[in-house]
Amino acid sequence: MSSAELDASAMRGAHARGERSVRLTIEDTLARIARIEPTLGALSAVLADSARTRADELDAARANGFEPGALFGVPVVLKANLCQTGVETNCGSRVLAGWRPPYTATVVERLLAAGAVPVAVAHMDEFAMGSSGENSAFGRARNPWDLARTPGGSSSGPAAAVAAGLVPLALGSDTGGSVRQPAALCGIAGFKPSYGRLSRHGLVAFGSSLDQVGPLARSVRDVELALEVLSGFDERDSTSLRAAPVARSARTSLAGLRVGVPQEYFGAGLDARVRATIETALGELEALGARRVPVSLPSTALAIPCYYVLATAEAASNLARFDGVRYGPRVDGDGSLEGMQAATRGAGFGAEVKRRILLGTFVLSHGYAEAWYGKALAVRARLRAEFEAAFAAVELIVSPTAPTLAFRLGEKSADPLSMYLSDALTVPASLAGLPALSVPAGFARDGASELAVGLQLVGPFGADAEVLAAGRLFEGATRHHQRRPALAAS
Amino acid sequence: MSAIDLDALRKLASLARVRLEDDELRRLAPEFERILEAFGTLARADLGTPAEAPELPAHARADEPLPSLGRDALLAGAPQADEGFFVVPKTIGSAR
Repeated sequence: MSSAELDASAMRGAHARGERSVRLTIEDTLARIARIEPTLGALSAVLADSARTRADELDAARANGFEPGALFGVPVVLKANLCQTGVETNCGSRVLAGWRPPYTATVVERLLAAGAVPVAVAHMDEFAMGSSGENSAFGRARNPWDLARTPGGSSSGPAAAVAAGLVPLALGSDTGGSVRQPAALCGIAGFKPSYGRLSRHGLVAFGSSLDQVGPLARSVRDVELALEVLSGFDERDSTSLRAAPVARSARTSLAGLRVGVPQEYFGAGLDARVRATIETALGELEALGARRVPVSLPSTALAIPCYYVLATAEAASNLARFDGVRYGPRVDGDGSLEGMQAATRGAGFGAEVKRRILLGTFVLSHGYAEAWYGKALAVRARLRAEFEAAFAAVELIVSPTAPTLAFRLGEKSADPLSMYLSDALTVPASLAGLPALSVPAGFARDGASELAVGLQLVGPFGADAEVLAAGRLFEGATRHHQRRPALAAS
Repeated sequence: MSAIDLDALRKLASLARVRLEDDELRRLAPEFERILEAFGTLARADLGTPAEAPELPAHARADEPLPSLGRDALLAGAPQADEGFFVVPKTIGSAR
């Protein structure tokens, strides 16, 4: 059986039992990458040499009686904003071109300790700012279901790589939907954990009150496996939750589960085909015994401006460090320090990053901060309170993940505002710090294309395992996650 | 509400230390205007509640020295380094 047909759990099992060598899986994976990647464009670097070396080390360790870890021999792809010692981590930006970090992110260390094999670094929107992958300075990934369309963003490369069957598991980051939205548009599972659940030590910062690392996989079962490996307190991240690793929930049925459906998520901007697919999925949840309960989150309409004010303010501050002194290439400018910094940043950042840095500088500037930043903080507090009130009556809140089907590459790139609206349904859970999963809800036709629709499941803070269990039971009953794009079969 | 003209944008770019070419400024100004206008619902919202910072988990580790990255490793990614220091353009006694 080709490695492309195995999920991470099955692959690990085959390696652990000695039915299959890790080296064979890695060779298989590299061959698939060589075949599919030229069409897909998801990867910024293939780590063939280190992957082969590591595969041989793992095979030797097993032969010597070493107890195989939970991801033993599983090939993984990492978004280009997760640090690996000595591996170019450019965040999709010219300002970090060629930068090789001197340390490894905690989540990557934990993957390695569990036996995973990083095989590639994946493209992303520059500094995770974008919803289509088109804001990368180095390459634009395509959607495996229709190569003329976006895979979503900002974790564009990781989502496309998993959906095309290159690897069963990838790590991305989600600030306002950057794991969930591409997972939805690519027909795979993507999870943003509760804020603080996964360490961000070694994740290049964008919006620190929002950023979370998140796994993407072809099944929720694999997301659960990844979360067990990746979660747990990390002293090197001051926002890390002091909590034990997340164990898989023992729930085996959705019977009696109260599922909240917020009317505000089904408003004017929602594509009719997405709406119809989600309605069908809600019916499937009910058929599995869940009880549908209408809920209201009245401040939802303010979530997009609230998010873009807070995230850009934080980005303006976080990205100040890229100034031609400590990282990446330098542009001398007029020869002064300020001139060098401005010239380096002017040449190094792309249009969307500049737009957001300026927006963030504006909303924090004297005379405007109270009207914009202060208001955004107040809206955030209100959104959190509304979620809390809703969770008094339901265990989960479900909605579409993205308001539209995958759009065509280039369709929104000249219109930043319309791109921002792609995040309308994912930013509320980010602002509230809640665990949120996108799981395939079904497919809808647009012309000749069959495109994936994602169902978003949001839980109360800390209820990561319960959200994932519900997603796993939904996918087990509906099997939408087993559909593969034609490209994956090539 | 916004009134972001080219001069105001130039000032913001200078505060943010980002050099923008004139064509970038001219493209950015109407985009900025449109974004701020759309986001005006936020600035105009009557919320009643005072702003409060979100409650985020936060902790500090014990104030004890631990092994850290060496100076050479930290300087390795810098565009210019010399004798254990980052090199920057002269800032004292320069023309500006």
